[in-house]
Amino acid sequence: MSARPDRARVKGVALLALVALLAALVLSACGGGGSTSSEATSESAATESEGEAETTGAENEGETETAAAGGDAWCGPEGVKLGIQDGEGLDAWSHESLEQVQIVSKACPAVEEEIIVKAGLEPQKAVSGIQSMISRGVNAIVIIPDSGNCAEVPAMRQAMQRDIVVVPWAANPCGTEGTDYTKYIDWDTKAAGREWAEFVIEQMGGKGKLLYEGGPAGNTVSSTTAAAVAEVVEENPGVELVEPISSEQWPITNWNPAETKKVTAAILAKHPEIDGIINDYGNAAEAEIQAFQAAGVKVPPLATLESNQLGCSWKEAKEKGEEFPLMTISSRNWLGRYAAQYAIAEASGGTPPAMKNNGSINLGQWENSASGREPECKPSEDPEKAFSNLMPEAEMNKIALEG
Amino acid sequence: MTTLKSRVASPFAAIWVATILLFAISPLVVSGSVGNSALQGMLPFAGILAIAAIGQTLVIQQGGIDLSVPGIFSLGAVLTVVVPGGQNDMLVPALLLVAAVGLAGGLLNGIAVTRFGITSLVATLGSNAIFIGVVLQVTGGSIGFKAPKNWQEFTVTKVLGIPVLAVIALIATVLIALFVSRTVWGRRLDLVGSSPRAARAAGIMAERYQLGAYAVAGISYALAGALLAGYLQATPLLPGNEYLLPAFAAVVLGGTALGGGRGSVVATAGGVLFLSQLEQVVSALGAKPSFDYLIQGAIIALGMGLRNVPWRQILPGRRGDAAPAADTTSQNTASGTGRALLSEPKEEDSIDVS
Repeated sequence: MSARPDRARVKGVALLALVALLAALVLSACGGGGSTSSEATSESAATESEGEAETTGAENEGETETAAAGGDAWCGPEGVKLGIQDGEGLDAWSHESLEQVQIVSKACPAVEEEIIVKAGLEPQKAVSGIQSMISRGVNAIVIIPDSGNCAEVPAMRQAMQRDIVVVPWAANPCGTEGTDYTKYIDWDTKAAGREWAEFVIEQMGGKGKLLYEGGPAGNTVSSTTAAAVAEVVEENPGVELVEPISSEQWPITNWNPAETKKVTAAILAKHPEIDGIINDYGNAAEAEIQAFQAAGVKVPPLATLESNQLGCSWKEAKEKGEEFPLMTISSRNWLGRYAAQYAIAEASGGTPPAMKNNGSINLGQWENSASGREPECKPSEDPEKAFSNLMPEAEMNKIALEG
Repeated sequence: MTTLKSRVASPFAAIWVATILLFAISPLVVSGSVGNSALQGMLPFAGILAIAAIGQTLVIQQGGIDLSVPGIFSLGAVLTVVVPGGQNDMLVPALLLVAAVGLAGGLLNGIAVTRFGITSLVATLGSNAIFIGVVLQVTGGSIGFKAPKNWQEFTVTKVLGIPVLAVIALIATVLIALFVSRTVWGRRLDLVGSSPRAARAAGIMAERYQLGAYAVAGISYALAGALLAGYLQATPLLPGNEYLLPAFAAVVLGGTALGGGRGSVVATAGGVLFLSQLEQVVSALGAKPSFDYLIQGAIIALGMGLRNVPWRQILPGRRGDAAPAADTTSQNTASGTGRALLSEPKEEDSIDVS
């Protein structure tokens, strides 16, 4: 081939790259205009950091909610470089969680810098994310260790060995307190599973077929809640599980609405009569409801996590006279505030919050249509909004703190 | 008689035989798996996959492969929700934008491949990253809206009891199939896929047809994403990630020749039905999702591998039927039950645009 076509090709490739870049920019501008999210600008940089570290200034403006729970004794005088990591990071639940952590970090002047990592459920990214934080000199890490089955433990231990405060929350970190992490703060996962099962079984009248659906294989949240549900089912001989569940197996939705709909449709084909359902993610539960409706099957009593769109679907069904009992537990993103307080306190010389039950918080029920606390629905808000994150600080403290 | 015989022997017939067999066996494995409830659950997703797979079929028929399915599909889904912001009156402009973005994405891929000679694998891998970046940029990590109510309601309507998504897929498949088989443009597209050099020698502007295939593919992915967003009422950030492998597997199952040449969107639709029903049965059996991936991976591996087996030398009575050089052009269906020969020699090299 002659030199001329080669030069032309190089020019062409450069031109193509330029066109692609321009197209991306035009599309971004176009989509950005369509979005009315008030946080699009401040959050966009963080979102692009999937699997990589992103540094943001701690003094971000535009945050209206600055009052962090539990007073301000947790915010000490020494400067803190804070690492914030999420094993997932890209879904609405993760988005809310980051927001909650940042409410606290922005309220403490000692926090000089934030490094945010979103691992996208990839353990390798999660581990390299922690190592990157270590090398960049963070003093404290607040982490949701759910990228894989206990995948983050070795990297968290490395951080601890370098005297970095590590506070995992919202997902079982595995490992040992004091060696692999400083403090683990979360809901009482087992209690949540039992709460769901007890509600649904009560609504079923103590007999019938119960379906549990959970997230990705091996994740510790589904593993613990599935085991707790199975435990309650065993205590109720009239109840039969539609599909076998244990700490190691359950019908897997990957917390993805499309997959949830497919899996539920397949299960409904096999078991057209289901008397109660439990789903460990509210937005997946919403897809589960759609699958029941698409199959023309009445939606049975449901227990899950709160979600705005779930509440709206429930209200819509109620208006059509197709009401079903619904109980939700708080999506618990707001516990991230206490995880951040704990980490910042330990790193800045402040006083850590005194958590109930050593940080394992029994959240109880958030909404219960059967007992009059109807699910919330605000059509003008984000469909995936979790309203428990907006509860007054005093109410949060009452649930989570001693005294 | 000859026509019937040739149709039965067609490499594209095997998938339909396999699909009919699967549907026949399904109720024996899982009761109710071909009942109304099961079909109503399976067909909408099959329809969405079929629409996306039409695009992949056209690209593969042109000797390429399109890895930008996740990006364009997700962009289509997200724009359908974000642009209208839940308002019905913005639905039509949003759908037009989705189609335009799909077209632009497809053209970008097509230009990269035909004009600049970048391997389709590399070009579409790179463009996919751009599209995903745009999705994340557009949404800022959170969608914030549900699909417009009218779109939600449209995607769950039924035509004579059949989910509208399946009907749309059927219409799109028939239209594309008729276009390819009954129009001059379609026949030329087929010829270009089989042998770009022969097409050029015949005075056909091969690159235009290849570009057209990528453009239609882009539109098909984007519209499939838009339909999913309506059917789910809301959309995850990157719903297209779940459609790359199945779309590819459906094309392979259908018997479209990997590396270019003969292809059939009708057979791909058969592949989609096969995969969707298989997934339904596997899910109902309680198998883990990993099993689905294993099956799809095995289908692709077999589809690729069986093509390279010198069947003429192995099968009795076939030895010496053709010259050894022609053996490398034999094409097998993914299931391995059917064989086909390209009607003309297949070029081994990629498109030369210099």
